[in-house]
Amino acid sequence: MIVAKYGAVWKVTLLGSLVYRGDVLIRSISMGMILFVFVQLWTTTFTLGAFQTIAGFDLRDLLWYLVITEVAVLSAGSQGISQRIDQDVKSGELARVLVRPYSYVAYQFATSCGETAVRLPLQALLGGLVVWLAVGPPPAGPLAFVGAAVALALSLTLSFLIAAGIGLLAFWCEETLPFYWIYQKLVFTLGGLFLPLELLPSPLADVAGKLPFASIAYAPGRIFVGSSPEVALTQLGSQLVWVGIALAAVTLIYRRGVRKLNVHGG
Amino acid sequence: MTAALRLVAVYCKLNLAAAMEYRTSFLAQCLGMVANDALLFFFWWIYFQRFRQVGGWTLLDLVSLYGLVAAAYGLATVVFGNCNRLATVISEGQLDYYLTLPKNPLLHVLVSRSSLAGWGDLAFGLGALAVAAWQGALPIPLAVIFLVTSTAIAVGYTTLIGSLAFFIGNAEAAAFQARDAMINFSLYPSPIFQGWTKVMLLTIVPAGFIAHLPIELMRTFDPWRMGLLLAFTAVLWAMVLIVFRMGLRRYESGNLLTLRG
Repeated sequence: MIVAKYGAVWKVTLLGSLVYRGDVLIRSISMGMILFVFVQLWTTTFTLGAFQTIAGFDLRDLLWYLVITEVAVLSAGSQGISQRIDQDVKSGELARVLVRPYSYVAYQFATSCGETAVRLPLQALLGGLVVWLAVGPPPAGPLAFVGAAVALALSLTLSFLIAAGIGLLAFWCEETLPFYWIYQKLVFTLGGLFLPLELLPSPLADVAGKLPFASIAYAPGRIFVGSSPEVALTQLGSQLVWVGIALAAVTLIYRRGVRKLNVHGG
Repeated sequence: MTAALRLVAVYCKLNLAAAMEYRTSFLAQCLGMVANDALLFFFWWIYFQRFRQVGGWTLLDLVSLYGLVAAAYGLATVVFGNCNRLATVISEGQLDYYLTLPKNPLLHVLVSRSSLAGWGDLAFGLGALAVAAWQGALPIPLAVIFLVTSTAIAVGYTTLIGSLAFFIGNAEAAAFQARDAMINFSLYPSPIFQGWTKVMLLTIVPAGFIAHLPIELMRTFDPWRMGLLLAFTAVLWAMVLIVFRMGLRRYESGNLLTLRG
């Protein structure tokens, strides 16, 4: 029953996104562009420094790592989710949902999954194509593919929960966008989106590895380009823990926030 | 010319007064954007901790680069805030309002909106430029000239792309991508781009003129390259004026009723 209900929301969003596939395609060009710039940066860095590997990554590993981290972050569409929820709270649209037989947060999750289902394959294809042309096929074996797929699913779930949490802060704050910007840039740097945590200076790398941002970008990227089963399981375990914590936090914020909601007639 | 400057000054004052009505929101967006830019720059700090230089560019060059791009983009969106929304304004028929008033419609539409977050970009950019100047990497008179040319190119380019809406209808996605490309390519050191990419960055995505060439000129001044930068800025703006005028002839009102606060 629950699966059918939210499955229907997912399907409607998916079909809606497909109607505007041209728009989705144009917006996915960013992915190719970002990876093109990374190809230039890291090819130049490896060539000028005559490096074979940097922090254990050769050029191919590093660029495919970046494909996965970019897919994890860009296909999540976190800013859209966060701002949609922010607007629903501020405009009072949320009140309309309270009388309906579904959970607002679960509804938003199903919607975001529908949007991601269109964005993710397109972005993976575009980003993968740019990097494949530069350095050849991915280094990953079948097990790494499966591990990275699971890590990607957990990463997207965590991204959604954090974005939803930031959007729900609109119950208390006039502006939530600045929180989102800061969170996003923490994923870019300490989360390993721009470069693997192994490249950070050592005390910072240790701290960054323990933060939730690493579960969003670093975990799927690291598993994809090859890591020992122990490292992969540790990353997946860490992701599960952060998803649990984020879910509890979002539930708490939502419950407290709804209690503050004042609905005026009109 | 004086009337145009007066219009810009009046709108700046009004936009700032409007922003001050929502002081918390203004401060939050401004400080949020400063933190955003600083965290983005943090990547380069990490990079140069490990590699020291890339193609002769050092961390200090990146400070100048980020300072110039952030300050120019901040200035563009604070003073000419509608440059990023021009495609929407045209496709939704919101241009009607500006056409009925005795002011230059292009200038009027551009200045009639201001970005709150742009103040954060501007503050971060000026701060970074001050650090670069303090470290001796920035000749201040040249930096001021480049701030003007980079702002003019950023506004001109986004306006030109936004004006495509006159001809192709919905150009919002294209305008978004073009702006994204302009910013993205501007924030990387120029030695990593070679061949056709370099040509592209000096033509269809003018990141080379907004960011790379000014930084190279501040490192080693060359009057010919300086002339090239000024000529590009002039040609770009000539194209903007021609395309906008041609577009206005094709513009069809949406008979949309809007209220402006």
